[in-house]
Amino acid sequence: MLIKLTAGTVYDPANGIDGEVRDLYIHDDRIADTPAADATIDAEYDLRGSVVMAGAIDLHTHIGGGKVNVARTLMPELCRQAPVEHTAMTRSGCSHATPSTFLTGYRYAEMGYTAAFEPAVLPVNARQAHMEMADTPILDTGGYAMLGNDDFLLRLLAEGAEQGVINDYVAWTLHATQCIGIKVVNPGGINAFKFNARKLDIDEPSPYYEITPRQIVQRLSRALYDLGVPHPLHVHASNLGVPGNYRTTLETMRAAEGLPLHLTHIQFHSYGTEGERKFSSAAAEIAEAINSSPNISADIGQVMFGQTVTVSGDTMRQYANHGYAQPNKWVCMDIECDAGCGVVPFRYRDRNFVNAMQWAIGLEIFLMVDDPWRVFLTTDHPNGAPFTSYPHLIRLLMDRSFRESMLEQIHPEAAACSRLSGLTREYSLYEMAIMTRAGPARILGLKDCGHLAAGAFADITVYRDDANRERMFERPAYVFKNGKLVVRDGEICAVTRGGTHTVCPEFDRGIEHSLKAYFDRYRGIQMENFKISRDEMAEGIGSPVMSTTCAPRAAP
Amino acid sequence: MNQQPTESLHHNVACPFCGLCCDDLTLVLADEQLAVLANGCPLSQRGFTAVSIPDAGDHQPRIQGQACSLDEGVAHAASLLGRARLPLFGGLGTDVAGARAALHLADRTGAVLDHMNSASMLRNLLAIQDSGWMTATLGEVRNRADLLVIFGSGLEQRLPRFHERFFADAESMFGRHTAGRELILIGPDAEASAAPDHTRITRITCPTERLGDVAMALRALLRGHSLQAEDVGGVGIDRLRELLTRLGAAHYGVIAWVTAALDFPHAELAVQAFCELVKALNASTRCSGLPLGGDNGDYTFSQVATWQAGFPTRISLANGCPHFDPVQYHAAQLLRDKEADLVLWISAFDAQRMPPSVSIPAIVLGRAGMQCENVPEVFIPVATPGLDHAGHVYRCDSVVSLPLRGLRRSGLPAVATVLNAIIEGL
Repeated sequence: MLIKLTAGTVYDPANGIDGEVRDLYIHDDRIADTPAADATIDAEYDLRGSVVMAGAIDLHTHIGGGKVNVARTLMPELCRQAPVEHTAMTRSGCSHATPSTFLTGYRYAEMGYTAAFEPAVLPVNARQAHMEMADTPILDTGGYAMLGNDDFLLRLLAEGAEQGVINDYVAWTLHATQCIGIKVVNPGGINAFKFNARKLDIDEPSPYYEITPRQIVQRLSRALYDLGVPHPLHVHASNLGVPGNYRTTLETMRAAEGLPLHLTHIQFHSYGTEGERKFSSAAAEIAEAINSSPNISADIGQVMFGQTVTVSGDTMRQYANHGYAQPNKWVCMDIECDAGCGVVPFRYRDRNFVNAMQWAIGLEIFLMVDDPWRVFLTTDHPNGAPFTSYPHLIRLLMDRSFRESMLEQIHPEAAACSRLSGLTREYSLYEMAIMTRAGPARILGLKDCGHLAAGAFADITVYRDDANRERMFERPAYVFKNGKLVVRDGEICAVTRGGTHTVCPEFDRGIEHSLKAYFDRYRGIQMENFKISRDEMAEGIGSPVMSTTCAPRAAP
Repeated sequence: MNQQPTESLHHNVACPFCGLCCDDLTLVLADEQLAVLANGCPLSQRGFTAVSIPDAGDHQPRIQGQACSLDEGVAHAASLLGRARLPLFGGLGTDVAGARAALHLADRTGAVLDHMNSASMLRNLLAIQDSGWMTATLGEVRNRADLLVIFGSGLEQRLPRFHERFFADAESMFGRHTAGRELILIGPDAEASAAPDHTRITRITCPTERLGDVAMALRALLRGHSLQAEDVGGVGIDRLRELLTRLGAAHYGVIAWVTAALDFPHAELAVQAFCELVKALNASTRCSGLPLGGDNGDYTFSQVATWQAGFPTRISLANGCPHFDPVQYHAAQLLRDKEADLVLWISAFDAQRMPPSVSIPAIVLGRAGMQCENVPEVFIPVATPGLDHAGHVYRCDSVVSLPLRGLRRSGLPAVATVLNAIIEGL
């Protein structure tokens, strides 16, 4: 099958193409070079005047794993409000802050996304995360396994284990959970909460193990660097949501000691204590630190106004915030000596000072970070807002006058405190393509995604150019997934199944001796049953693996 | 015939027959017959060995009691489902793949889904939906709990290896087992329950339907309220105060309940009382709730249904999209009111869990050996996950899912295989 996409305006930052009118060719599931003159074109799309980008990639969105199901269980009223009927092609479901898996796939594809990554895979719950993502159609998916609160790692650190042992354990975990990266959530804090600690600062030794969050960040970021895993340590820093936490965030950046580090939903970690209400924006300090630290990247976790439900591994902070639950019900779970799960419904209101500040702080960081390759468009779905608000967020970033009009609607004191009205920057289409395509593909090490050169997967989104960027990004004219047209005029026209991106770092399997002893003595589940095989991914779970190899790196 | 008997050993086998899903069993397979050699319990012994294989009679699909081929059975089932106004999918005792297929078929045919254990499941689900909870998984309990309170009786029968694997006899990485853990049993049969070794046990007799009141009284006392009553459910206030002191002094207390034992109207309020007590204790110390129970794939079905349809059970897809109503979509009521006109019953783990006796046509996917009281319109004997084919089931903490293995070649089709064939035939 050979498809020609004729004369679209192409934005392909990975290949330095900034708005050039070009023809693209799709051969089966890949992008192809210009074929021979006598080749038969099976289908042609006239894309004159349309904008062509690679399929978008969301590198941080909670779409699988137990906590999303806990949120659905806790909030049946949200499901009830938005039932969606099945069609001849699509399954029914409920579309709300935590949509059912099928609708998650459809809605993402309808916005031009072709891959999404679940950032908080509890190792013991990796099966469920992958099963849910396997039931999320069209999208390719992947997960980051959570380490840094698991008793096995903390025992190793307390025993003074060498870095090589940590590296083996990290690599073993990536294989066993079929994940593409490692995330640490409130390093050591989730574990400390199980010992009844209610806070843990970056240099505070944890109860029992007496390990500091800084040590955990150092050792895990080192492990990923040594192993050659493309994605840096994905960090949900300590003290989420606490006024004044920007200092912790800056210290967390320093903990990496120059090694690559990704700070996630950094908006929630950029708060100062200025002003009458002792709550202020530290976006300038955070953006400056990112701008001056080429090893640091971040996604934002933008807050949008409305009802949502927050899901997090950070039981320590979710428990601390349960008083803000709206409606007043919440879940906290201590999970299997791995980590935890906290689910707290939130309603962000534009007339609430703190919520309005959160909204403004996210936008400030977006606009003050210079390098679009190191900042990523996320709402930390569903924690800041559901992913379906991305088109609105894109318009806020690309359209200053629209942003100004929105700023007038928020809490007046928050608007007055914010630097937002002084920020004139408007993101270009090229920068937007970096932030939502080329950048995520590069930081995840996905060589065949996020760009449009021959050989890449034919994951392509075509938008009708529209000065209203929200309308433009809400309903692409066409979306191709692996060369198949799946969306036409913003609606699903074919349903495909995706695969799972993983990494395969090399390691010494001798680590299984100590792991097996640990499982046998303490876990209540057998090590052999904990591990997920590639066959199980393909057959029982239903999302076959696509692996990236890793080249070990020597110390810089 | 002088075939050599073949015998093979299987280690680390996961067992799907109760909510613990123990995965440390050793089984031997000889002539397609399984036996549990190590780490068995009465439930796994029964589950793995219930039906002798092969018995041709047990493997025979039937239409109106007459032998038919699998294809004929599937085609007839598809045609019945295609014509039904409101099909009711009951039982739903199956693995993840079977639950996925059942939800797909229900979406296509506009069915109502109600798991056979819904009444028990909803005691927990309604409590979460109303106020949430704080819980721990089994592995967390094993390692951290120094005090365990169990509300309700019958744990030994329902989860036979709980104490061995997760509390009394289980090694803890924080030394809880060497110190001797504290176990408090509250329920009608507290005095009769066997005492596990290595624990300091306290038994408090209380009628089942008053257990929630006991928890509410504990929470009231914890919050400093004074109570007019001298006892609650026969438990004296002084005894409650003493219990509260121990919960407050525990490093990591766990308040568990045997969900299926709470068999009285509005038992979700009792579960809610346990959960609110847990939350109140966490103001100063750590404590977690622990629902205990589960069988026949109940936790498995509710997990899959929740991620696919947004709701855990008692779901109607009759209007083309999911609706949840724990009262309206109760299978027994739909049958009594003659709203449903076709039953699809699935029970792949237990041949004894049979469909309700109904006058409307029934399609039954039953574990081989099931003898239905009424001859169903279509009967298709199905394979059992974890014996006859690979699959996945959930533990009762709703977090850990275990991989099941196919240990023998029974020739029986899996539930998912049959349902997907029916979908193809619609």
